[in-house]
Amino acid sequence: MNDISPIKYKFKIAKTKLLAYFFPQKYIFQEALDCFKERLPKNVEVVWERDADGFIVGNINADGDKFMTQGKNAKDFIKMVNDAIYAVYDIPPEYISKLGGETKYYPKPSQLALLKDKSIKEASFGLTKQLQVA
Amino acid sequence: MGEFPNDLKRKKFLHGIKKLATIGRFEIKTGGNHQLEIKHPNWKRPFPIPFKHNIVKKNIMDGLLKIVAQTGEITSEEFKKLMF
Repeated sequence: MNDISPIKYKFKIAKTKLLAYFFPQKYIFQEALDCFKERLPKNVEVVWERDADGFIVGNINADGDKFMTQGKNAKDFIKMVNDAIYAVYDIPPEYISKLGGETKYYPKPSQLALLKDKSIKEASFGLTKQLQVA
Repeated sequence: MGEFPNDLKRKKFLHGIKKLATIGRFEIKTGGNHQLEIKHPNWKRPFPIPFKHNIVKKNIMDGLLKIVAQTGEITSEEFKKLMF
């Protein structure tokens, strides 16, 4: 079994990201990047609810694949939704920033306002892939 | 109401999930920036659990319990015992 210590994992990905930043030709391959771009889902639907302690828990449906995530607030929740998508579609951490980072899938402003409004206890939104600026 | 009455502390969750990896054909991996992926050969995609926060919400544990029990390799009672 792999080591699943969160602290060790954070150190490991920080090291890989740093090396990928300084030596991109060794860690980032254009062919792999194109392949990962294609692999990501086109349509993502999120049904979320807010807990009494302010946490947002969401059910994600990405092109038919269903999974869940949680976030402390609206901003954190969107980051976690994106992170869960990268994890489910097996994208290595060093490629995440090249693919659009933690805001690749972003809700529309009206849906974001509902997510930020603490009086709204549940709602849903669709996420669209943000076009990457070269 | 779901199967899990309360949110689970991250430490307790990690302890339980390590035991799950020794049962049947489950595999635990890290992925993304803050996720643990639970994999099973019968599933098309892994099930991600965030470990960024100190707690794992009970709704997520309910979702995990449901799909884990569907594999037939562990019952929901056994899974709850692992986690508590």
